[in-house]
Amino acid sequence: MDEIENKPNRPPMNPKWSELCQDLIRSVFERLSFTNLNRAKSVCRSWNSASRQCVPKRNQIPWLIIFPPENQTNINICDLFIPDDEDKVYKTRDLHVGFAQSSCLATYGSWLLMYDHLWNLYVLNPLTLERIDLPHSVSIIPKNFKGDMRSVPCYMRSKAYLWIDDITKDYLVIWTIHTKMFFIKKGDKKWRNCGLLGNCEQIVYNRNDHKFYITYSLTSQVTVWDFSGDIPHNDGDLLPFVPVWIEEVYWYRLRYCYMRTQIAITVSGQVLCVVCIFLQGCEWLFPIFKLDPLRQRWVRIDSLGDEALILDMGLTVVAQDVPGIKKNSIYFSGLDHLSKDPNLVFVYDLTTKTKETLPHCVSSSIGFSHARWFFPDYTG
Amino acid sequence: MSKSEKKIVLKSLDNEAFEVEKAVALQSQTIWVMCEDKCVGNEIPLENVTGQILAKVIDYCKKHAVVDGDGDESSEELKNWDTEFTKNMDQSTLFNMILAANYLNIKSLLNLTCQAVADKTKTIDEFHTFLNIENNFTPEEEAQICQENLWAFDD
Repeated sequence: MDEIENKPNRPPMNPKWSELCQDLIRSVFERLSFTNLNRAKSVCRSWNSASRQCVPKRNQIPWLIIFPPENQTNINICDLFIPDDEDKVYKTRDLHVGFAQSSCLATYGSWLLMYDHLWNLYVLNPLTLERIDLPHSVSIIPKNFKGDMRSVPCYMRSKAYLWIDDITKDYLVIWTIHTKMFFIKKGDKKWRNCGLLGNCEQIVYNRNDHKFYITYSLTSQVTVWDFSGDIPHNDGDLLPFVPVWIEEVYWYRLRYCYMRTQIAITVSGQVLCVVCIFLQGCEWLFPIFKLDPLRQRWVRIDSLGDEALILDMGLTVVAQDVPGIKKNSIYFSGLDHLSKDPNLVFVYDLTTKTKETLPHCVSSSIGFSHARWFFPDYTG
Repeated sequence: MSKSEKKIVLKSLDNEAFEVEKAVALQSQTIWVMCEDKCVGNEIPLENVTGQILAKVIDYCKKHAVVDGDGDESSEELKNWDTEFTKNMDQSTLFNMILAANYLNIKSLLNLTCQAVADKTKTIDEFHTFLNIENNFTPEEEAQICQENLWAFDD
């Protein structure tokens, strides 16, 4: 009978994961989510050194940032909810920002465009703790606006757009205040005026045609702007009036509903108009229309397909086969960022037409502070 | 081509022999190179893989060879099969499967097993318990890493 030789290179019975060769550890690490890769760093020495040579995969899901409520003892720390890590809320480092006196106007990647109660604007990255202060804006603020920005009536509130390059830190900020629009780029010493006569509702950027879509709040008109040259211009391009006649909202119900339209750009560059309807104080509806560019008409659509819409950012993202993001859904965090109602933060599933509530740990953490979905492109 | 030329024998380090179709075995780049070189006969010794692991690797290759061949099964079914395949593997089997997939150079199997490990570990505690890894940081190092982390990870 043959005897099995006991060879010295026989694999160990108790595998030593910490001694797995660095190439193979990296193959595992490349498949970990953001948060898990960060955890893997603190498992043991060899994993720590392997993780340093590892390029983690890009984040593909929206995170929720929850600003601290005013009465909280540490008002410099935000909570983060990362949906593929359900039932857990993370804390940022101390951001040295008095959030009680600051608000978020817009986000781009991991960056937040913030303003404080004295109308100073700055750009802040809550993950890397970088901060860029923008030139003082006092000279461009209308006299009747002096004082706390939050006392300004809702329809006159300022809107903004932020773009920033993670590496070079080149940036563009467009900011509308009252009926005027200003912008600033890296290197500029002061804000530049580019006109606009009307209250702005929303500024959205289309990566495909490199144009900005700016909505007026009173007329719901959408104009198309080009910021690529030195002087921004509006070529008179105007989208058709956004749809106001919605099947679900009969004229007599209209009296009891709150309605706002938002523009969003899909992954492929199509322009969407999302009508947000809060019906009789209890039910949300989100009819969606797509612009038919040839016929210049809005066409009702039933589904976002494999994409998800982050309404605050005015864009859709790919959501097929990505854990932690729901396709054909709207990531909603309220329409007015000074409201502090935790019921206004949810994911709306267009397939089932239902609101998906946040895990308890998140809703309890929101308390009476405000929160918004953002899309960190942070890679570790 | 005679029948014997279409078959190949793989021998594990504990001397277990497996007769398989050549098309199945050739999914391993390592075996493919060995056959190309004609430096081996019909029997290929695999010195780094035990019979128990090799049997599983062959299961995987058989499944994937069939599908690539006649396209009868949808990619959806194959995906489900892959999920089932790794679902109940313990950490020791996964560890040896990763080593085997790497040694035999079967890229899709390496991807699958690495993904399975990534999916099975969600917290630092799970890394320590499921993978049986000892935390060998000194308290100073641990504090340093904690400091480097950009946001807090309290599990």
